[in-house]
Amino acid sequence: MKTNMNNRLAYGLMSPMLIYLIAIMVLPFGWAVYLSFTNKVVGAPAVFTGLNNYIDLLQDSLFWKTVWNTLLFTAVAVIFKTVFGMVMALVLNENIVFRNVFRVLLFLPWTIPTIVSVFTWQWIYSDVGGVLNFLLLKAHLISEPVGWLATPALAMFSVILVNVWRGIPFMGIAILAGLQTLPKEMYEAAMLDGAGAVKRFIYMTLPSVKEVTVLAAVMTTIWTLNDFEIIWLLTRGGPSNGTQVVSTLSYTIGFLNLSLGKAIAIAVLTMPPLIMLINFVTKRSLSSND
Amino acid sequence: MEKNAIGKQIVVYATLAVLLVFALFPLYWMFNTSFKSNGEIYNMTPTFWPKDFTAIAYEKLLTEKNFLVNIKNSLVVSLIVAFVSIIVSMLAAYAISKLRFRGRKLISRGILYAYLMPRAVLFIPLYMLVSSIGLNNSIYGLMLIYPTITIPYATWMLISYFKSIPAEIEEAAMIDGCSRARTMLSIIFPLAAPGIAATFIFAFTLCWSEYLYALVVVTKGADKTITLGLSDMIVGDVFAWGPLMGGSIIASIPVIIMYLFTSKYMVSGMTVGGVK
Amino acid sequence: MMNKWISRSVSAALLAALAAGCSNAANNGIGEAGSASGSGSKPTLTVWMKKQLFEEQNSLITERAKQFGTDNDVNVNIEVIAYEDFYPKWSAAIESNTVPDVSFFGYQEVGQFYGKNVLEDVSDLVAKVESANGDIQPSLKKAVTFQDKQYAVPFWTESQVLYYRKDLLQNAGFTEPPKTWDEFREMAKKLTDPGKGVYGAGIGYGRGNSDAEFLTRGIIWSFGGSVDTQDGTTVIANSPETVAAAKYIRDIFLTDKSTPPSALGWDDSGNNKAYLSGQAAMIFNAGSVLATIKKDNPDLYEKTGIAPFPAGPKGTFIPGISNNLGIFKDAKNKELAKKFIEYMVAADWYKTWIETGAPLTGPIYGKLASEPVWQEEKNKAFAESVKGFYFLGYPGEYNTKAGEVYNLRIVNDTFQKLLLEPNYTPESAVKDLSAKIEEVYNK
Repeated sequence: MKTNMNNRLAYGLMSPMLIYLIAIMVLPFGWAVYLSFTNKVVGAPAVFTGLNNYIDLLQDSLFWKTVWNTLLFTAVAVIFKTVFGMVMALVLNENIVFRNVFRVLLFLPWTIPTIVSVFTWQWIYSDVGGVLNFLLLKAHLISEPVGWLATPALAMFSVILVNVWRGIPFMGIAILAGLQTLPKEMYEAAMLDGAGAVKRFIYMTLPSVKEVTVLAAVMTTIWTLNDFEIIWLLTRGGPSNGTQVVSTLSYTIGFLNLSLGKAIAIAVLTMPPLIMLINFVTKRSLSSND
Repeated sequence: MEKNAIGKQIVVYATLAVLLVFALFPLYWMFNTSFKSNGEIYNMTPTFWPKDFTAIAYEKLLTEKNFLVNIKNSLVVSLIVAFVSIIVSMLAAYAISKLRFRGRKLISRGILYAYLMPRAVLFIPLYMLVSSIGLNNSIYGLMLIYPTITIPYATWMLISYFKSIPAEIEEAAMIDGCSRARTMLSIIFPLAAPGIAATFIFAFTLCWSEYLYALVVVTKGADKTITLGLSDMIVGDVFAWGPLMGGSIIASIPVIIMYLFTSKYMVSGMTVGGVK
Repeated sequence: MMNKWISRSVSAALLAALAAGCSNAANNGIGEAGSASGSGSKPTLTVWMKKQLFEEQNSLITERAKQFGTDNDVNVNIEVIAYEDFYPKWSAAIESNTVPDVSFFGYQEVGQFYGKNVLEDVSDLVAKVESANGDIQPSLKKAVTFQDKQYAVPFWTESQVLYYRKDLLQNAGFTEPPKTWDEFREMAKKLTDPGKGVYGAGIGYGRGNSDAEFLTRGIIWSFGGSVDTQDGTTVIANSPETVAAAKYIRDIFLTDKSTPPSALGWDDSGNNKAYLSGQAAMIFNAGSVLATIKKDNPDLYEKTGIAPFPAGPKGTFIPGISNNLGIFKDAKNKELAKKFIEYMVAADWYKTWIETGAPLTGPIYGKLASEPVWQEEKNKAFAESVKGFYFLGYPGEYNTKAGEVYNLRIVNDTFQKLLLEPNYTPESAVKDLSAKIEEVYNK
């Protein structure tokens, strides 16, 4: 009986979300997936071609390069964002003067619209009038200006840096809110018991925010995987496909070449690992403390 | 004890300083650039403070380029979408985190599946959906689409915040005679206030800085959001750097205000009310 | 029991609010998204126009469009859109059948969309315009002609020219700008001084770079090579001439090192920045840079010289940029659209509009090219270049495949690779280039 009641209550509570998502997401999503099995080009009707797009892609070395770039970009960016986000949260959780002011300041990179931060960084990276080169030259760390976006490896580093710069506040504030949801009494009790700061961190703080951190990290991972604007505006996926990721490749094929079917196929191909990641994380987090 | 405390303070403040420099340097650069004349911006050696300080970029923004209208549009869209998303997500997150029901695992996974397709391709089918109801070329269309970005995120994050509230608290309250609704509204939600506030702010900024959907759905000049207004400063290969930088500074102000407003909720909530 | 009702009513209320909001908005939306669906007595004409650099030009266009509306009792919905933003908007509009009536199209897009069969044949309109206003320059008409029919009306041109620092050249002992590519290379070498941060050749590549696509073709064509076909089907890119051009470009970058360090990551604003900051002594660009300098840096304006493209062994080949107005086949107000276009290219108003944008925007009518504004020292090269315009696909006629090759940035990618990898020879580069182009032509 009790379970039944929960069913109805639960679905009642979730109904706005479910109705919205089904109405707005499922149809477009489904239609898009269908298109990936056709030769759809913008302006022309779609003709079913089965797995053609997929076969073409799997045989294309550019596709695999793109996958590798995407993995690299995402992994490195997420790790840095998580680590520095945690640091930021811990620092902001402490009793420091002007704490609120600093919270706002550290939050700013996330609030600046992406296109602007990208263009600002473009200037910072520039070889003429660019502050980064200027400072490095002055410090005698380099002998002539570096083209930060001019070689594949450097470009990858540069776009990761911008993504990390932008993304740290999200992890930081998300984890901070988790830290703040912790009962102060637990801390006070532990301090009375004589536990040192590090011990407190490892055995109390960390486990309690582990949940929030992991979930925020999953969110960040998904967003970073799909991140489009930063790379598109800085390098468009170049030079020489050095920073070509799944989202930029899809966009190029879909809208500059108008091959919509193929573009969606790219996106679909990258879904299985994402699905596995989501399944893994939800299984773990939902089964714990139930 | 004393030495430890001071050592810890030093570490904390030093880390804070490093974080601040990293986070704020580009913003300082934006600020710096927004007050420079075009000629100075293109100098080979960067200047750390404008030689000829000029506010002409801001003037242009506010008078010529209708920037305030863009801000208004973004505010309307972001606020409405953020509010609606949070409310919808709070209900759903409560259900998933606190209730047992059939299909729980499937639904919680399903929410995140919404993010499986990158926006860079999803925008076409979404646009088609929106135009079939006649909402293309209007900010209402945007308001209809944006929750696809915010709701999965908000639900997911709120689930984790709700879960970090020990089940015992709710059980105790219910044993004491509280109904589900009361525990949900007067206990769980207030306790999770920091998380809710943080989620709200992020939902807001997700809408605030979104570009691609806005680009496709909004064509009318009067409906443009700030991201579109800012990208309008770029015509082909010519960037109006001054107004672009100035515009983004202006564009950050509403977000900062929002943040200050919600940050008062981001204080440790457990000390409130008779939990003991 | 109460809680169930509370939760149910909360959800119901939310849904009701959403639904109400939606239907309300839908009503407004339909009225606004308007086409001639009978929601009002006046039809609505939707026009998408490319954003011009000069605000005055944008205002003139909007005013003129509104004037058309008043004169013809029509609602004109004109939107000024940045070029890059057109692509996602076009795709979304075509797919959801909400296309504008009149739209700007670069000639490459005319080809692309003609190939997808979404453009209206406007040959009769072109003929009408010509009989009323004078001949349109033949090269421009050719670019939008497919199977003897025109699919857009030329609206304005943009020419690419050589910008050079008169003062820097003089200091190095040169009194004239380079007339051939070999001269260009030599002068670039002499003008390069990494210590001062000055580089002679302000040319670069980058995925978002259309400057590079055009410039590279200009060089290749002038050497006698090609990145397309002669007859429209057989790709002739892999030729000794193309290889020679590739070698030439490679030498400037890698052997002479006359290009700035960031050049391989440039977007279209890269060369602008290089020239405006004094980093590059010579660049190739359309008139946007000149307009910027005139406004922001009168000193640099004085020091700037303008010349046509240097010549290669086979002559001077200038990549043409031709911008047009076209009508979608699925547009709801085609007759009105045609009238509108006629109105926008009526010679008297058109002359004012074009000259407001000189030298960036060039006229379509042959006779307007001899107006005084085009005889000014710095504007001359822009107007003269139009006669020597060559379009994508050379030596073959412009066709949709050539447009695709351009859009895919195959040339850009290949040359980036060539310039980044020391072991990649010009011969292999051209071979790969040819293979990729063949893929496009064989699809």
